[in-house]
Amino acid sequence: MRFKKKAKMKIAIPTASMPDIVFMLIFFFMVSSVLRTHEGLAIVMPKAKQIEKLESKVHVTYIWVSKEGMISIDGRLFQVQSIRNIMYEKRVADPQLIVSIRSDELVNMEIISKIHFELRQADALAVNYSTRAI
Amino acid sequence: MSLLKKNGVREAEIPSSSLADIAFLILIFFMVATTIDMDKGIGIVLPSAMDSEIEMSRKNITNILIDPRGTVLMDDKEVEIKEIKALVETLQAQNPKMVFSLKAHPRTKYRIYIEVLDQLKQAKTRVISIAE
Repeated sequence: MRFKKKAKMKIAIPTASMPDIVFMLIFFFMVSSVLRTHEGLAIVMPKAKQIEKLESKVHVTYIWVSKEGMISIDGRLFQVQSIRNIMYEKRVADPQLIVSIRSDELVNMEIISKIHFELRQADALAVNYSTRAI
Repeated sequence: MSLLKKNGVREAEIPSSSLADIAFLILIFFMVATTIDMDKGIGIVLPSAMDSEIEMSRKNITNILIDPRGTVLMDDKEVEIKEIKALVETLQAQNPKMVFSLKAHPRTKYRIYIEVLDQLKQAKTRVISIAE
């Protein structure tokens, strides 16, 4: 009988700090969302199964290659030969540089080989081929 | 005026009971609007231009050649792209030092190259040599 008396106690979860928690979440999402600054070329990326995620976007530079053979870096079109200088400068500024090649699936390997060669000359050796997941 | 004086100082408050609702609304907006698009892809490390060529025993190398039509030759035998993973796994089990040398014709499509590279990555290949 004693138990029944105690069971009438009101239990409430304190909601006073809920706005604080929600605001904290808002700030997290606001800070973590990155707005895209520039877009590259219109491409269809190849598909692959064994893919890995790029850990951070900070060290990544994209090379866009369209099926017409156009090469774009940071929203500007370049010749293959200029990759060497651009990447060398980027590599000096950031030794952890990762070059992500975003190429259309119909691009000939000739262009990719040329890009490989230029990247090797620039000593930018960490490369990632952007793909879609199957 | 007389009314105000009678009542004395009136308390003016902004109602804060709906603050949580507003905050939730903004939160949901940001959660929906944020696209966490992680970059995914196949990572490789190119050899340095300064690296001297390494002499290797012929038996430790498997040549994989891709022709412009997308036909894959593995040690001079034509193979299907889907078969590569299994073949590579067997070769690796036989010889853990095996290096796979991938060579594509200049007119080979990038898609085929990625497919073959994907097969090699699926087979947990450690050393992939990309011949130019």
